[in-house]
Amino acid sequence: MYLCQSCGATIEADAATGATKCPYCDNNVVLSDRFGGGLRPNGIIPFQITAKELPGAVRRFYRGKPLLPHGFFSQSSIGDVQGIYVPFWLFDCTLDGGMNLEGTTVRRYSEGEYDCTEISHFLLERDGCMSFEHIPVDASDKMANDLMDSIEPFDFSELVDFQESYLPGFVADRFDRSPKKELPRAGKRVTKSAQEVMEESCVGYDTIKVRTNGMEMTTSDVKYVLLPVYLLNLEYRGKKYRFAVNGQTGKVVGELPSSVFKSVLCFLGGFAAAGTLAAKLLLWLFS
Amino acid sequence: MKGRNRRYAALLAFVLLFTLLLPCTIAWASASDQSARSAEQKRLAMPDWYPENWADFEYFYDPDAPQLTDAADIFTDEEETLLREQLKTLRETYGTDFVVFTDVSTCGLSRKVYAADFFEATGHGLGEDFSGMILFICMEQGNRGWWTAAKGSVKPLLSEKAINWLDDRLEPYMKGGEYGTGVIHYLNDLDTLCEKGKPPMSGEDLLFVIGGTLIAGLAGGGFVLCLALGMMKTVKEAAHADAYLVKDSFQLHHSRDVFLYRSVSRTRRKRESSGGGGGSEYSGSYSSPSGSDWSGGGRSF
Repeated sequence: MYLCQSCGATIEADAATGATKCPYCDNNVVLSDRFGGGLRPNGIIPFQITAKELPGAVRRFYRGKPLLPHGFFSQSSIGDVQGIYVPFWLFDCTLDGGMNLEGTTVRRYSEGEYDCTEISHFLLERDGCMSFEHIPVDASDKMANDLMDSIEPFDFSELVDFQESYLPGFVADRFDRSPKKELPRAGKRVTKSAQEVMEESCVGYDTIKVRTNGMEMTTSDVKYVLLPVYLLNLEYRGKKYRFAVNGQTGKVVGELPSSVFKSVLCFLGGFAAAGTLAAKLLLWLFS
Repeated sequence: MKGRNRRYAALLAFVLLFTLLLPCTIAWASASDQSARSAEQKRLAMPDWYPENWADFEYFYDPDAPQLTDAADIFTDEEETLLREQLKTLRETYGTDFVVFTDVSTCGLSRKVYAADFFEATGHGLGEDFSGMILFICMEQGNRGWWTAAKGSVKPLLSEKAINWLDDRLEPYMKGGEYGTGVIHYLNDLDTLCEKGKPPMSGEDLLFVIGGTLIAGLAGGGFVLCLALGMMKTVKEAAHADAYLVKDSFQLHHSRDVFLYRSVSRTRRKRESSGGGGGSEYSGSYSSPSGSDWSGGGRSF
């Protein structure tokens, strides 16, 4: 429970809230103890996109969405808009170790009356290392992981030292998930990328499959940062649709409704095109 | 003395030579006799229209050569009249010769060769390349069957598919003994084949085309819809960290490719033609004794 410095009202805030607005007088309230001492963020990327630019960004997002219902533009309205500094962990890590892959080459040839397919199998041993930096993983229970992953990338060259003066006017949350808890999410992503890098080093094979992965991840650095995100709700025909906007780049992501009529048209269009091609080909084959 | 010895030696050599050569001479004479006899026998077995020697044969066109020769006497008079009319119409419509020939024997030759030989030896074939088609029906016991052959400009019409289509429709009549009716229908089918340039699609083929089109359409429609739905879906968990890989940080310390084993699978290729994919024996290209190139096919009944 906190007191608003402007009107004296009591503000209720959960343990993760670091900055908010007074619901009575709209005054910006920063809960300094949430970002003090060991809880102080290592950095922050300030908001580059203003709230006024949001409708334009969202309209640009609608374009090129083939199944959007007709009238969505005109009949939808942007509801609550919230600019939030979302807590993230940025992991720097190194992967080192070996990987065994299986590669195959395929050769086709004719021998007398027979068509032959020869598959040669190889064991591919690879040992190496690679580094990753600033892998972002959101540290807030309130934020859906997939939503926060989708608004990437952020330009971390614009990361500055944390100052409380960046917070007024926005909501800011403190982390409520520890780096230890979130490390596996980062680990999963780097493992996938490392596998692809190793596969690329196997040249001249028709298929490559990872057999064993002995690479070990070592975390060299973890930073606690606040990244700018707008959350907004859109209302269309009585239903709310949630969007997130990257407060630095303006990238919009969110759930969109699909028109059944346009979906059917789309399917029929594909059906007609593929069916016509297939019919022509089959008629020529059987002629 | 020396002179006498030489004379005796020469005499001995002559006797020895004569003794050795005599059996060979007798054998050669006998063989010539035999081949001459068998050739004579063969000449006796072949029909009158068959050339004695193909090497000396000169190709000719006889405008009066009958398009229908029923040596096996399997058609009624009415059927023969109808068939002659049909054959004449076909010749006038397509500018190429059409012949129906029946016989009780092939004189030891295969049906395909006998058919081609008859066509060429009896003055058939129009145009510079003596184009034409012949249906030959053999009624010989143990060798009953028919063969359709084409040469010249109409040779490409007789594809394996066309032969199977014609034969599938002729076979029930041949097996049922309705030779005349069968050939009448056969000539109608030939007319269709010449008009369209290819046999009409069978029911099975049509089903295959329809089925294939539907499946392709469903797959295509599904694919496009999934693509469009994918464009609508913008929220998903990140699977990779490619964007965060430090440039040039990848170092490969060890790399070794070891051959493990090889597996070979073999599939027998489909046999071409000579068994007939649809039931007919088929030859896409064969030569007659005159050197002409023919195509054709047929069945036994």
